[in-house]
Amino acid sequence: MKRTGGVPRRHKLFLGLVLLLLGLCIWPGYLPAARIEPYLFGLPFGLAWIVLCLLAVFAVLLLTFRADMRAAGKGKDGSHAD
Amino acid sequence: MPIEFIPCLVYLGIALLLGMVPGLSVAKSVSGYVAGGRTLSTVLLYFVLGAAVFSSFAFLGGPGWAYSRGAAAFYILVYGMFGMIPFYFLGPRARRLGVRLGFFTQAEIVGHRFDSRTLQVTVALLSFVALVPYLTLQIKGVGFILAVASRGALPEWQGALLAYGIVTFYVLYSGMMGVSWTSVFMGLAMMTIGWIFGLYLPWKFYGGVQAMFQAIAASPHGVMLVPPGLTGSGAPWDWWGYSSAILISVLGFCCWPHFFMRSMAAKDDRSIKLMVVLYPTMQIFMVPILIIGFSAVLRFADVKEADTILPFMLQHAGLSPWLVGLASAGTLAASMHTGDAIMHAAGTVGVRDVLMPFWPRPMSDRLERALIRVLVLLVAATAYYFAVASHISLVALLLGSYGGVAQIFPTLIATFYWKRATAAGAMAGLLAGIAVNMVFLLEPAWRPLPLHEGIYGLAANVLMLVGVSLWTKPVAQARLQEYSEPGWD
Repeated sequence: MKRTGGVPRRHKLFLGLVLLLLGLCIWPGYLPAARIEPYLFGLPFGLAWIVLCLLAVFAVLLLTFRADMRAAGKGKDGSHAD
Repeated sequence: MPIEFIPCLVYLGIALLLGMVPGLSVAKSVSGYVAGGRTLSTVLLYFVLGAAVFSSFAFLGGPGWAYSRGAAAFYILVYGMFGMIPFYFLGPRARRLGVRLGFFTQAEIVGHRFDSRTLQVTVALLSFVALVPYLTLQIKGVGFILAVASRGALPEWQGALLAYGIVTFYVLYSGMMGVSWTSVFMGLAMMTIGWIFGLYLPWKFYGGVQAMFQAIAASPHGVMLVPPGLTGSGAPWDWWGYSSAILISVLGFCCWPHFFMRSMAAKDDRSIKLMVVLYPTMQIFMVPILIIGFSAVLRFADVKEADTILPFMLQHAGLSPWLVGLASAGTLAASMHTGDAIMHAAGTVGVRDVLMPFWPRPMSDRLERALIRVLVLLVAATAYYFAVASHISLVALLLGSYGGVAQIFPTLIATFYWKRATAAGAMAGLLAGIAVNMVFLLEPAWRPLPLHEGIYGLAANVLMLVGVSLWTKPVAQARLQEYSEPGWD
């Protein structure tokens, strides 16, 4: 499959969101969550926060993947060579 | 025979069987031996790459970090969440190049893109040097755990020999497919065992997971639960160190040569992408592993070597011997799961990237497979020697190699996305990066800020890569044609 443009907009959005989520897990985005209370799912807040970010990363990946597959046509994946 | 040892033996038997069966059909060609005939589905990829999450480093080191450094251990969770993401774009590109031009390793791609044998050999050697200490750690972990499970009847050198004898056998016999099928079994074994212990230990000692954390928070150890946790010596860790350790690990993650080889083995782009999408679900299993370490904080106050906290608990927590056996089998799985992939990758990289460029005539399929097998054997023997006979500090070596491996990242990005990059630029970048990384690794006090030494390496790397590339003549257009696909993937 040939693309006409360069990088699709959904990939720029994807990269932006991933970097944002990474920022929430290190300095400075992680600062507000760097504490023990309140407990969430039985975990200290700092750990639960990371688990939530992990779920968000998963969601962003899943949506991008679905959009990619739709863009590539039914069931095909945009592979060129085989 | 101690009861603890029975689950280990059952586990080893199954691993041997699973590792051998695929060898009956697919290992007859180089493509079959090295890349499973390029047929790996998402499920196989998911578990093969999951090996990175569940190495014996994670299984022993993860609880060790949680036990001694508290919230600092969250860093292991975070880097695994993000480390695989560049592969969403790099993986499919690498796979298509592999199919078109017959490549199996990342150094082959880099060497071709820059039209430079020197660069290919440098990248290959760098990965090779990083893989051997990694493998040595896995072997050490196995010897240790089998000694515990057999109540000392099996000394460490024998246990390591038994487990890695089996691994070596099926890697030699079945290659890529042996590695893949065993890793599905091992992955499932570890996940199940990880969850069982992550929930059982806090319940047994404290009556629940939250109760455990509350007990730690109320104790003098409470401060360890506040991110970014503690340093190795018990002082509060700083945000510089925590954040830069995550960044360097994220970038280093997708540079490991065995990862690249897996994407070459994928059957299509979709399987690679789906594997990246599903990868965070694998990472979530790190949470119970960390909880195991936390459960020891108040219970066993004075274990000096934090990495031995899991075996220590197995010996002293008064658990049923069946549970001890189960946990031992899980740790075995963690180690062998990573060890087999490393052996297979090291053998392939050594032959295809280091020997082949200097071979006087084209290598026959048969000879190449034979040489890869010889090298697998040599690598296994070397790592085994270091694991049982030598006393060099391996953890230090491994930490150093992570900063080194991450230096390949700018080269990879330039390979796929920056046409103006030249061989001289890539080479200068790599060498500068490695040199700076080494200097600050050996002399941490010289760093202007307490950042991970690999970050300084990367800065020097990118500077040289860009500067020298712009200074030198571009690579021929015809060659770049192969790399000029639109978009990122």
